[in-house]
Amino acid sequence: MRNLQDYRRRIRAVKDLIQVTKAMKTVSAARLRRTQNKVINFKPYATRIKYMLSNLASAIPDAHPLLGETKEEKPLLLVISADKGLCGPFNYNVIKEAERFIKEKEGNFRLIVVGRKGEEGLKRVHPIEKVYKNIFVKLNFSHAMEITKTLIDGFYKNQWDSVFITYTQFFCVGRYSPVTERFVPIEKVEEEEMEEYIFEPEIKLVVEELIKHYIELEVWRILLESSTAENAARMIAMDQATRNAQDMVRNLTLEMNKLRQEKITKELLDIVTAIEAMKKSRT
Amino acid sequence: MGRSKEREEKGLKIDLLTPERKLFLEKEADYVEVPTQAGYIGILSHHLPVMGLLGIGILEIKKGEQNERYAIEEGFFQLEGEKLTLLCKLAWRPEELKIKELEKQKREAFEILKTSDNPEEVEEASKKYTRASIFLSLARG
Repeated sequence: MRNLQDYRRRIRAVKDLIQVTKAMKTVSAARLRRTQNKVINFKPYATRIKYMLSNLASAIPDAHPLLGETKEEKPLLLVISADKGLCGPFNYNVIKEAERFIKEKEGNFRLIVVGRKGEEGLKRVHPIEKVYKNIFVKLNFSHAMEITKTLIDGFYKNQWDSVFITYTQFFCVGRYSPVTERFVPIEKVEEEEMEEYIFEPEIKLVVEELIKHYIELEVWRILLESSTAENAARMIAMDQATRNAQDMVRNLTLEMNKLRQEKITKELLDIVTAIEAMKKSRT
Repeated sequence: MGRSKEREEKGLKIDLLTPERKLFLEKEADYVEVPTQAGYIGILSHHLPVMGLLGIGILEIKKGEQNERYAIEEGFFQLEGEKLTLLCKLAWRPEELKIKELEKQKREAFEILKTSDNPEEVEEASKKYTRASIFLSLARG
């Protein structure tokens, strides 16, 4: 049977744990706000880029390799996971979704992973070509530029003819789900009336860069969305953990008090019996 | 691009955005110098519509006596009427540039330029060197 000292020690340990989970919850909440701000700032930019692109849609060559249909003979899968755990089923779900895709394609594709957890989960299933680690701590647009460069370079070198992305869609705090989407080639853009412009440099180069940038933006959007979902998931997980730990403290304290009560009763009983015995021996 | 006095009365309106943040919206200006990939172009009011690629460099905005400068890196610009939209992949105010970091980048690029024979590496390093030098000159004022 446990003694009181054991109980005290355990309660103290759980209370320390509560401090940690509470701190982690606060940190995730702050990170969540920061990424959500980035999402808000991103939207007007994306709208303007889309507007420019639709202005130039008539100048886009019909057979542009980054646009339209493809045979999907040599696909690439990009999986966006997190670097750290302790965020509920977030990583597990993404890995499961990627595994589903892997099964469907019967191993006939290449794999690039963002996030340490995704690497750990997927390297047993399929060889990984490239891993991006630790980008979510200080997520900025240059990460999106770097990843897109890899995607597009491989595309033009004919290492893959299409790109799929598995990532976590974020709907609201507490609602997110993994999804796999075809990503490159992108869908055709709608045309809009164009004014007469002077181009600097020539229009072909501008269009080419715009299309690439459009893909960069999509990568950025997906990184942001995944990061938002990760932080939301961690916030919820840590909140739950704090509550569980608090329950545990309550139960342990109750048990400890019962034990203490028992001890006191026993001691009292001892004393009372002793007194009774003494009384008897006197008479 | 020619400058003429009587045209400067009507002002340009400029938006500068990056995917991460808005630096400013609808800022009024008389004259803007935009770094494109082929060099700087100056834009005054009543300029013809122009669209193109931004390079790495310093964006200069003049309004009256005031003069503002920003470090920008790649992106797109579009001038429609008096509205100039600058969409940069990365952009900083001069006070946001980190002098120490830029100096380090400049030194590293310089080392590569001195030692490497790989043309791809040399090209990248020279780009980095130019970038760091331009931004340093802005950061130091």
